[in-house]
Amino acid sequence: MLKSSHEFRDPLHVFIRLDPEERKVVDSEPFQRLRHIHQLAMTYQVYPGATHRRFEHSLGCMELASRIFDTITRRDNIRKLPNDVCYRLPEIQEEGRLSYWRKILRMAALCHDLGHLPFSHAAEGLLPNGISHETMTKRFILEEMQDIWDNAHKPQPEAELIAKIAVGRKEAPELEPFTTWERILSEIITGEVFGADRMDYLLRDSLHAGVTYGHFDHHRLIDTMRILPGVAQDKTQEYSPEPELGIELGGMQVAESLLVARYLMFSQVYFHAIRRIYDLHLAAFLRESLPCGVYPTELKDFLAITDNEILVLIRKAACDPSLPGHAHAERIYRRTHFKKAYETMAQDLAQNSKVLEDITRGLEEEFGAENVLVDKTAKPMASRDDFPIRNSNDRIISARSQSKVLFSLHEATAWYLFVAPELRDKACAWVKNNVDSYLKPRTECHD
Amino acid sequence: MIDITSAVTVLAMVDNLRGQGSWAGETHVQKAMYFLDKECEIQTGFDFILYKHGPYSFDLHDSLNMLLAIGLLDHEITPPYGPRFRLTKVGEDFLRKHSCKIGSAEPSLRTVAEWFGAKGVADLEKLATALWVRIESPEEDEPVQARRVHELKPHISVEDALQALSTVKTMHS
Repeated sequence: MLKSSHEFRDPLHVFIRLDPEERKVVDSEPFQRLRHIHQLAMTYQVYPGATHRRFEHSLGCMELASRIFDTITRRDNIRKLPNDVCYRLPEIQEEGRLSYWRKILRMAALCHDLGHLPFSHAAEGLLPNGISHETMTKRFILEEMQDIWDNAHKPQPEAELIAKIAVGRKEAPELEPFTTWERILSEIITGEVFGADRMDYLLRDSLHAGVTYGHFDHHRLIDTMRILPGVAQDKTQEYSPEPELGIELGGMQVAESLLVARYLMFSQVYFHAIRRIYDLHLAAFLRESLPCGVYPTELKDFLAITDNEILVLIRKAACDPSLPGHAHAERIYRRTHFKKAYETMAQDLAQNSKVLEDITRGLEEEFGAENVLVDKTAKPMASRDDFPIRNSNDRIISARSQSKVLFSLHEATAWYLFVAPELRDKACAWVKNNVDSYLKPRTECHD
Repeated sequence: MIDITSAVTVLAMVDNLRGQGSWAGETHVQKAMYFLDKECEIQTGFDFILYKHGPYSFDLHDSLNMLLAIGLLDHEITPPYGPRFRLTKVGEDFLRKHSCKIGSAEPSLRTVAEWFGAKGVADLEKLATALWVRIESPEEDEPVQARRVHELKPHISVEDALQALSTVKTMHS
């Protein structure tokens, strides 16, 4: 007899249970492929425990998305919504229909990372122009998984709905329009403060890397999440009737701690210099070894490449100087990666906004361009979007008016210059001797 | 990365809106820039989709955040309401220094700010959605367009949609 429930033992959420239809998604080839895509690329070279894959993260994302859904749709949590706000959410009035939406949300959360390339974000720049991993995710849901949706119990999940909710509005303009409810469901997964994706990856990456930077009280955060009226946009309103995901006032500190956790994870793990140089070597290797230097986007070909295939290619190329990408493959395989010679600090930038480019040029002239690699990546850490908070008087207030932390975190940066390891000492000495002269803008050089 | 012309246009819009008494929150700037782009045919470079309060641009949202991050714009916080944009001293200097970049768009910026200066967000949503529908189906007559506005934004009644369409038509003329 077919089991009605399947469970995974998860190091973060303990038990994650699936129904038979969700199990079919998990058993599908695109989902099983995620067992072979490292969540954090080659971060395991720095943090050896960080060998976890997109597979378990996708299960975790589904678990957290479901918990958020259950909290925000609980009757006593939507009871206080004003009528003009409820009017915009007919979906939550139909109790019988909520289980359908929950199913859609869980499927979308399961599928949200299907389009990731080998080693996740490390070499996403090698996709052809205009194609991102979200594009590939949508294609898997809309094309490759169609049989699963067609054969599901009625009401069958609509592929287009799953795709919309999995990647969100910004990544799916061609699937417009989104209803208010669909927007809220997609924010449950993709939201920048409350998104299940973000919550799971911070907690999971932290756990596996063996650091505590990514910890925050997600139980408390989820428990305080609500659908709320939007923040009044000006004095003509008491509140905005457009519903939003928000929190009770008691959840504000944990929302702050999530963003601080993210900042710390970026500065200590994701933007760790050695992790970044492995990304650069990997991208350079793939650029030289993939046909035309780009990833295939035909679904069949895309499915055929995982981290495993790339690791085999790296090993072969590392051992055979005649193969394309040999130099970078060897750097990865023998761990003779480039070393950091300079890191741009905020005070350097204040003196010369092009200091990284200027020092790069100087180092290249001195040591040869082939011995220098530059990394210039930055990620905003502050929340970009305001959201509603309900205070103890049931008044809707702007998060921006309540929290300095949420909106003033500095961006995390990885502005590094790397040089071949055999030149490191000389290059560091050169930077030490010359950096002061580069802290003045060299506009004459740019003309 | 936002280019100088876009930055100057956004800063000038915030400045003009505030000059006309607008709250100048993000919704106000979004709708004003939408009208500038579509009604006045000034190419702002921002793509708009139909979103929470009508037409909305994620690119413009990112640009506003960028202008905040680099200190050309600032938020004026008036709890419990959403924040208002204002130019910082550096932003004012920047706008003065690069005002030539606005060029022929300056009268249009002033006109849009005059239209919207005294309007609240509910009115802005109606007008911007009405313009969206006019552009989407210019060949349809107003009752059909009004029903479409109501279909897209069910909280806007057909009567209110008709009035918004008529106002947009007046603006156009």
